[in-house]
Amino acid sequence: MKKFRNVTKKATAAVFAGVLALSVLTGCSTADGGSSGGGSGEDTNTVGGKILLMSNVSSGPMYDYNIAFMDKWTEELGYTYEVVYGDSANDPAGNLNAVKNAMTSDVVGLIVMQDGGLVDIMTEYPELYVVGLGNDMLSVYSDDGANAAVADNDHFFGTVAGGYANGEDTGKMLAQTIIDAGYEKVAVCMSPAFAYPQYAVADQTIREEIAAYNETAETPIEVVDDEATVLMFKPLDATFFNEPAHQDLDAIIGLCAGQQFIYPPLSSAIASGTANPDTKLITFGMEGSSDLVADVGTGIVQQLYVPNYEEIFFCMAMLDNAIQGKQYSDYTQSEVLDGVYVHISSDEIMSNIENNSPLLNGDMSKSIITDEVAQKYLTRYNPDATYAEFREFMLSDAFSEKAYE
Amino acid sequence: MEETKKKSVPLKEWWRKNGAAAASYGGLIFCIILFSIVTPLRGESIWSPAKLATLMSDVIVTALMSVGAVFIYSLGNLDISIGKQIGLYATIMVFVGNLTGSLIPGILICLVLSVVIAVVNGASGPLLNIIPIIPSVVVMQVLSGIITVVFSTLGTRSITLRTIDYSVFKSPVLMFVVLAIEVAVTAFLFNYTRVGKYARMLGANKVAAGQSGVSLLKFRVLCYIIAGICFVVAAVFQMGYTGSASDSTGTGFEMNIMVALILGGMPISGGMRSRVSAAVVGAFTFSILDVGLPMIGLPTRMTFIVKAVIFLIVVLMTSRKKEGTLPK
Repeated sequence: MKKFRNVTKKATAAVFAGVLALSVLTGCSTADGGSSGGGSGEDTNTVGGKILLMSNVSSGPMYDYNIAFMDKWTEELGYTYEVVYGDSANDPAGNLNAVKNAMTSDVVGLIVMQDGGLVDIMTEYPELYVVGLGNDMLSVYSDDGANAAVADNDHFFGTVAGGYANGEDTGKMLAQTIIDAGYEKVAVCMSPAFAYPQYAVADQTIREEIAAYNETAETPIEVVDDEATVLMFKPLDATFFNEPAHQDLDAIIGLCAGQQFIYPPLSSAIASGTANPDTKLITFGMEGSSDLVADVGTGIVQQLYVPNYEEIFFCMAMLDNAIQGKQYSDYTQSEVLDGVYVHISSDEIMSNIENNSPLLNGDMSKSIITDEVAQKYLTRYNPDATYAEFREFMLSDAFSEKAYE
Repeated sequence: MEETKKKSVPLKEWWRKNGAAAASYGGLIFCIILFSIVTPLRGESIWSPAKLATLMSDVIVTALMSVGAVFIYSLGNLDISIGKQIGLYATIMVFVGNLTGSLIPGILICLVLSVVIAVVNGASGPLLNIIPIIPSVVVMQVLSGIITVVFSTLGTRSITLRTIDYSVFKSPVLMFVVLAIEVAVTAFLFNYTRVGKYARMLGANKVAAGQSGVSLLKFRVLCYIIAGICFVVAAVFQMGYTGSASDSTGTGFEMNIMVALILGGMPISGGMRSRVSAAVVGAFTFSILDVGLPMIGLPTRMTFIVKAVIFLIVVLMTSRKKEGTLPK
């Protein structure tokens, strides 16, 4: 029996060793991103290299889209790429470690989806070109921010936020949504202010805007609770719906990834009868599962604001221009650009997003970033392209839900 | 035939006694040789100054913590509050550093705090007659709560040193010197003083040690205090890496320690085969995989799987317990 156990143990170790060797060999031969470099761009006199994408997600529609985009455009432009995973809580040391461990001599650019440790990364690798994605980079663009020194670094090209960078704009947008929908009783839930300070500003703005509206309104709107319910990086507690004030809500505003943090307990509470069956969710972000998608529009998720993932084009354009030594002639200073929302407020729009966009399936043949767009805005193709035009394009309806009608 | 059988007995005996150490050293040497040969084929070198610096910065915190944790593991105990201890110490160092303009007061506060936590973690088990991991779970949750409250109050997820120059902590030479000193001191304590000997004795057989007159409470607490001091040293380098601390600093470090120690051939149930070198060998193996695997072209997402499989292989190769589970 003992001998049998020893043999089993050795056999298991051998199998694991075999699997390991195989996976290493497979991994080495296909490497993340799969692009071999060299590219197929029209201009053969180009500089290649590897671009790192420091992602803050490792699955879901946004991740899938980013991979599809990087697959297509790094190959098109003659780069390779690799995804590195930043610290799950944006810890500066964790992010720096992630970049350091993935650093090889051919790395020329870095797209960062979170800002922790940015100043250390850029100090460690001063030649690296860096640009932000889906993040307002408050630590860079606030006076006492930990990474404020990065804002003026000529190798940092700014960031495109995941929606409005300013919480006040977000608050006004959501207050107007509530007023337009005719809701009379709403609650606000949000991710913690210490992690997302702009959400606290948005919450305050919603309350001020609705208070102003109530001064002349025939039917005033009630925003329950004095402050938003804070979700500490976990879903809304089911006991939320046991409180009398929360049982007959018309809507919950989720200043967070609401499909992940509010939808499950809300739908459960509706099913069990503890919440008003007509309570709607107005929130941000998009999960890809079919049941969630089916509930967007006229279902529980009444209005969904999705920062358009296709704005990763901003990062690719800024990096490519810099790497090729052809940055826009009128580009002078990094900045944070507002991200354009894909506003899903009906079944028809949801259907358009499902069928006509790459946002849920990573199908780049449906992307608004076409070869023509690249020809127009990348200076390797169009030396006369300007940052002003590019900026205008990035802020335009080309990235809204209208693009996929 | 008879002679061959006789010769194989000492070899088996040697492997029984030293198999875990041989496998762990062998693993590290294998990794070094592999990466030394393969990385140049891809135009990289693991021996380049930049990569050596990366390796040192990757290894330092895990190694410093693991060396201290040897004293706890040798007792047959686990401490899962280590990560949160590091997080709290780093936060205190940055916060007090910004208030006073010096890191010294913060480090002193952390040393005092580490002794308090060590007493709680080390003494409450025997005093309350509960298994040792329970107090560390409680401490972890308390520290986690304190960290959350601190950062909520500060209104941010991370704090940064404003006026203090922390670049010295990025020096690979300093890292190496500090690690060497810590290893030398702890190896001396572990191998040549009663603290280390009794710690192993308690891990091997608590009842027999008690019957021999060894004070369980006293030596357990001493072991936790030594480990706590090592954790403060590790926290200095963790904080000094980016001059910052965040609400997630230290998260999961206790698992890194466990993996490093087992990769280094440390028996998870403690006892007489415990050794300080396991911490260093394991931490270097763990980090050289972190640094080397991407250099041979392995995608980052696959490094986690490869490390896990290597971990399993080491456990299977070194497991000699009768029940066939973890190494004893």
